[in-house]
Amino acid sequence: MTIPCGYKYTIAHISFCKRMLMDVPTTPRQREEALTLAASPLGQLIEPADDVGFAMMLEAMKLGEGRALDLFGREMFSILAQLNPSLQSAFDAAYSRNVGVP
Amino acid sequence: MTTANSNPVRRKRKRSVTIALPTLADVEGTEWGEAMKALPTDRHRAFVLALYQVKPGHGANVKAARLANFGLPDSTPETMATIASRLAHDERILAAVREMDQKVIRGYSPFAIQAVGNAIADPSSRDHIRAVGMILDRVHPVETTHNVKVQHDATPSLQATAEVLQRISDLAAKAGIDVSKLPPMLDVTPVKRDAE
Repeated sequence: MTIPCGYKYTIAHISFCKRMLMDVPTTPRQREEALTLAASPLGQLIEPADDVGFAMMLEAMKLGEGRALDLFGREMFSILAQLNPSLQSAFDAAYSRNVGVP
Repeated sequence: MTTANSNPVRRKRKRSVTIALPTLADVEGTEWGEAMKALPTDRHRAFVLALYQVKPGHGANVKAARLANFGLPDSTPETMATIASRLAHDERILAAVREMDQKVIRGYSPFAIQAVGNAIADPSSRDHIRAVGMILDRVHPVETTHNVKVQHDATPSLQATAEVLQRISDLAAKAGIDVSKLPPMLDVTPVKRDAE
């Protein structure tokens, strides 16, 4: 069964946004978007990225946001899920349609 | 008791006219095509052949039907038109006509080639050069060469992605994650090709 990577990059992006809210100064618009994602039903299941995962995501963001989201959903998701198990549980919940995707 | 049939009026019955069915003579060494063979009688085959002999235009099908001995000598034009229309639109006849079309066209090719030969033999002919060109095109077809250059470049974006993925792998290794043990994201197995 093919797993849609769209859910994956959404979940990884939410953990990235939650971490950004913690220690990186953001523009008001970014902050508003991050708060919206964090407050969503799926966002409440996801923990903020840890230091290593956040460093990886920042590396990926150097390629541009579009390419970074591709990496979040494909190559990086397994690694990020090892570092932050809430990603996998949120993915399972979203994929079984128990939680709506924002 | 008198019955109505005691003095019956005898109606004169018209004698049917027997018409000999046309038989198409077999020519030694020749045979019909599949569609012509499939026709029920020689009259049908004669009808198909007659379609190529009558003058095209209004009434051509009726003329062909008469040539093939369909109908009776005293059949009305309306009757003959019905017979001819049914014949001309019969699926088996149409298949035979299609077969004959191809045969007739192929049969004309010797004459066409002969005409081209005449045009080539006569330099003063208006179509001399065109005929020469036709022959040369078929003897020495125009050659076209396609040069297709396939070049694969590792674009900067691909290189940058590879570098970023390498740094991510390094970070994962520092955190104690073995990337090689993670499930593959793509269902393909890369194969390294030897340099040619």
